[in-house]
Amino acid sequence: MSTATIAVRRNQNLYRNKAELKLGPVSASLVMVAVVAVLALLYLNQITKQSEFGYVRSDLERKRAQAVAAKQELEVEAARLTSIQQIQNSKRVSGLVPTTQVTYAK
Amino acid sequence: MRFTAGGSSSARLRGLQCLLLILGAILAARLAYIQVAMNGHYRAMAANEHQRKYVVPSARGQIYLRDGETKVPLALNQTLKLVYADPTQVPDKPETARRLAEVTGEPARKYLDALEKGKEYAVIKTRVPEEMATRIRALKLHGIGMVNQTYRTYPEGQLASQVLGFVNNDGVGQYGVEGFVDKELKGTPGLLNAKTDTNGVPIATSDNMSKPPVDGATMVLTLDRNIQAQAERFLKEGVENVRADSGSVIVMDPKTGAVKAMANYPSYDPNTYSAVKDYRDFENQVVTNAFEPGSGFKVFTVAAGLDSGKITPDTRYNDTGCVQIHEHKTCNAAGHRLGPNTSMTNALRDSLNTGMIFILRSLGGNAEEITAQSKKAFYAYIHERFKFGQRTGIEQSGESAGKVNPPSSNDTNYANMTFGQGLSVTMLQMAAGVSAVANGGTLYKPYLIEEKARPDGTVQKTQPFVVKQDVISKQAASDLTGMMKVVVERGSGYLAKTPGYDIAGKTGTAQIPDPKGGYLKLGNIGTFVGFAPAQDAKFVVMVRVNKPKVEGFAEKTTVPIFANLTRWLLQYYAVPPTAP
Repeated sequence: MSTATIAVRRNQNLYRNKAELKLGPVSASLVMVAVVAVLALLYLNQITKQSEFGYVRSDLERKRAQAVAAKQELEVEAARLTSIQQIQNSKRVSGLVPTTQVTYAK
Repeated sequence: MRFTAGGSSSARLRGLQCLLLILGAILAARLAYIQVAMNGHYRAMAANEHQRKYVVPSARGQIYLRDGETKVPLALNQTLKLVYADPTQVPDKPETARRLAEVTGEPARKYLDALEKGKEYAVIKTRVPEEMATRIRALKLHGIGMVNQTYRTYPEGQLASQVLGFVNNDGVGQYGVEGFVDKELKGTPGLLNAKTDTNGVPIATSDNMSKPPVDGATMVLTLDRNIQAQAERFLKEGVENVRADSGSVIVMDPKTGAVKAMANYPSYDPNTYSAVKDYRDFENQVVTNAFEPGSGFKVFTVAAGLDSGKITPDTRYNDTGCVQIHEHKTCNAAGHRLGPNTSMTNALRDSLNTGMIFILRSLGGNAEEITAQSKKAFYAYIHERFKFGQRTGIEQSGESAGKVNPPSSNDTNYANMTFGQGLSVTMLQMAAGVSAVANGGTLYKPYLIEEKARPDGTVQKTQPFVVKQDVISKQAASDLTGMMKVVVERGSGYLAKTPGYDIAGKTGTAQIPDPKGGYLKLGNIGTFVGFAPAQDAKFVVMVRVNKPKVEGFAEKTTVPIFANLTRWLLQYYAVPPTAP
């Protein structure tokens, strides 16, 4: 190691060169490309998530439609079972005695 | 030629720059062409790839009727599966048919026929419930598929079928309420502008729905399930007892115009409407069929006479049995000839045609002849006051207006009109007219829809609508009620007499017009219209029986049906006895 070098090292804390960040046109282009790429990835991520939720929603809607169909089926069945024809044809009703004379309390 | 090293490099660079510039310009031009000039074309292509438009059907409004305070469903929607096949994709047709039959319980032959007859599409089974669909799916049959279909279901079967109508395979309401308020029941379909995945499956996103569907309104009818069922039961028994072709009944609330029952026999089940052979079975004859009412119409002739002050129940005339009107002789139907001092009450009791002609003449101020003035006065009563010859506007498709000839018509026609011939009316018009007599003179518009509930939460309740106040005076209505009571107590309506109750009514036996002219020799139309209790009517009932195969007048064919229904109604409404 030369004397000059040793001298510089010894005094290295005594002064400092002014740090200067210089971005050349190539670096700037690369940074821009990187920023655009990150934004594009974020956008893609959002779109994918949206589509994913879309599928989940479609699946839920399908299940809802199935539940609605099942409810409709039960409603129709309940209505059929309580229809006047069913009541009139039931053994219990046919065993009832019709009213002939009604006395009203005045 | 010599180039320096530096000069050569600079020229090459310049050349390259020019080349790149040209290429760039070409590229930019191409991009501009694609993105600007062809923008619409490519946008449409892209949209075509990942966007589809679907019509989202609106749910059809359901229909209910009342059972006391409870709402009972009369027409519901049901999403069921339709099982179809692509026969070209079915490898073993007999085996496929056999396996399907095992699940459905129907004969395999039926499915095999469908598979063999169909080319690329064959309907295997409709109205398949989810549970059965799951079992069919589990069979994993090649060439067999399923789609959802919404069907209209009528859980009450035949009950009020002609009032209700049905929805055909194209989803269009036909006849009755389904036909009349089809638009309101149907609602407005929506539009789904869906983005699809690579398989064309729609992906749900919040901006998919470009126009949401608006469901149809749910309706509650004024019909009472118990009254409707009893009306149908008594009508069926009555029509079968006299071996008639058909019959109809209407029950109306005279204080509002609300229809409580409308029944026709024969009837049909709207769930299997395609099995009906005679389309007339679809029609609600109470509303659609205008007919010559015969003597039942005398009620309105007497009403005109009483209200105009030209007669009272005790007004006397000479019943000679027949009346000569120009070259035509008109006689009483049953050969009656009560002679001088025949009261109007007895004329109505014995249904004397001569008495009605006397009233027509009296309306013109001269009891000896029919004048233009008498015809005008009579026309004013029946057409402008009781509204015969005009549709009531009830919520039923195919309502008939009937026909009332204007005063310019000849005297014989007007004489015939007084006893219900030479004009046509519907049972609905008759019931509405008699309701006006029963309630003291107010003509209400008959209605069937009590309530409309829209999907936005609004509920529209129908209020009784007064068509005409004071159609006849209270006194005239009261006098006429008294005269109609006599018909039941001592006249042709005697079979309707019910101990403890005052019942008012009038029979009618009308000849059936021959399309070739004149009247048919065989067959008649029997009617009975009445109300109870006479002084404070809870209901008006009209019965009609077509072409009974028994001897006699309406008293044998329609009155028993009226009597059975009226007695049941008095109990149903818990009306205490009003008479000794």
